[in-house]
Amino acid sequence: MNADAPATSWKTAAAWIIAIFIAVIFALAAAPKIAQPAAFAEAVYRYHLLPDSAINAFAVFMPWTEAILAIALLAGSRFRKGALLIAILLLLVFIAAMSINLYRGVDIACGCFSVASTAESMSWLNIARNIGLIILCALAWRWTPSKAAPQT
Amino acid sequence: MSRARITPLAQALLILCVAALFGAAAQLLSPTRIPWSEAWSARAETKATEAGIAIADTARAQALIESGGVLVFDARSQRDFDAGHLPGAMSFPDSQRIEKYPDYADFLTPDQPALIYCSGHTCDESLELCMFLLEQGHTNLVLYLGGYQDWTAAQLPVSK
Repeated sequence: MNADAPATSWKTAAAWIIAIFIAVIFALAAAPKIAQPAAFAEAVYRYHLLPDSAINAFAVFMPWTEAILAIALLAGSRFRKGALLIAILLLLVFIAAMSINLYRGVDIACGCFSVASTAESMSWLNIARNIGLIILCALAWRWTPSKAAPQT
Repeated sequence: MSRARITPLAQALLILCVAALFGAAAQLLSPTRIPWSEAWSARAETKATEAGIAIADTARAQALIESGGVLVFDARSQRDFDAGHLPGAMSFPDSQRIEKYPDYADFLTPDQPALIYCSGHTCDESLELCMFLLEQGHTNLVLYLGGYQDWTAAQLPVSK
């Protein structure tokens, strides 16, 4: 129906804007970690959640996952849902990791956008921010048309 | 023409594979690459020992505090300090070390012994604070690695 057309284009545009926003956030988060893997490994270690043998591998691969998902989000809608899926999973992992350490009372830097150990300590605000990002990802998912479904 | 579409799960797997390739390539080629595994758990002890910081267990920490000649610094957050701390300890959150340092600089002479702790073996604010104080020229530092956790586990008295 023609009446659907404006709503569809509005949602498509909104999904694009959110996708670009999420991509920028993840790209900004990935850059310092990729540039300084040793410092990021230390930030990961300070969360005290992974065994020694897994810390460095996580510190190497996780930032590249952030970077590639940012690129995938910018590469049109073809890979968007897959990228949003990973973004949501990563954000959930971050929320869990930060919650455990806030509960433990360990006063560490977030390691989110800066890998310096003197960066501002994480707080419940970081968790609120991640919940907001998850909601945005979910909206972008919803408003991204799945073109596999036949439209009649 | 409709292009063949892959499911979101397959897209996600593809993204992860590409990320894995880049990560592996970075580990092969990057000048900032890191070893695949490190002895992180021993890090606090290793770093402290290398820096010339003494390590105390609970018995030694207790003896030092009872002797009275040592300043005791709690490197945890102010909130945790307020909830309970070692007797005679002063709050010196590592995250606010720059702002807090002037408060203690006057009576913290270079060779004044100081015992520093945080929540326990899973924290390293105490180590970070020790390293900072070392940089400021304080050399008589004792790191209590067991921290508040081991102290309370040993049923020793705490102050509020």
